[in-house]
Amino acid sequence: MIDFSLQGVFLGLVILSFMALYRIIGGPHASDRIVGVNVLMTNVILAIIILAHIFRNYTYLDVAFVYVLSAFVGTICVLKSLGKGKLS
Amino acid sequence: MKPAVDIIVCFLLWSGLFFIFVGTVGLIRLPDLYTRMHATSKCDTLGTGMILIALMIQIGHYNEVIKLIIICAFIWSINPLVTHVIGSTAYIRGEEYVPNTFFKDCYHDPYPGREELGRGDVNA
Repeated sequence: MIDFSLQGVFLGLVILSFMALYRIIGGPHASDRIVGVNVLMTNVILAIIILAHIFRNYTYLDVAFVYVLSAFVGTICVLKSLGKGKLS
Repeated sequence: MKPAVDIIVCFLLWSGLFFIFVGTVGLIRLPDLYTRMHATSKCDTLGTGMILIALMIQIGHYNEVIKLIIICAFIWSINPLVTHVIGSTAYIRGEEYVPNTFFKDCYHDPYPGREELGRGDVNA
């Protein structure tokens, strides 16, 4: 039951990532795309952690850890560039 | 003991997926940037917490549980912060919104830096 639930939740997260990709591609403005990227970031982190538990290879947790921080810094940089017009 | 833990873990996993699904449907269906933000931020934070707590119960080793707690704390602190910055940036840039939107006190005490930035300086 646990294995079925983990695989089903992983598949659901992939499908939800594609649903967020719809908003990223077709968003009317840049801010909508950033909201979509934020949702995609969260889904990819959860998918990485579930894969780490499915494969019993817990070094992927470090990958998820780095991905959280890099996505945060990237999102803040894009938002600062959008708000001020420059990155400084 | 083991089947009860299994049932709790499965319940947390599927309900977390359900909350993320609701947030993503709101991201696609709602008409406006601010309403989309409202849908995704809360639902994503709650669903992420439930799935991570389920994995913490399921894994059960100290090293991995500590890493998962740190990831959970980062997501719970980063997600509202990014949402706040997205909202304030959209308000500075003057994004369009649905007609009945109500900004409380924004017109009397505007966001700092709104005047010198203006709407004409930033190219869309």
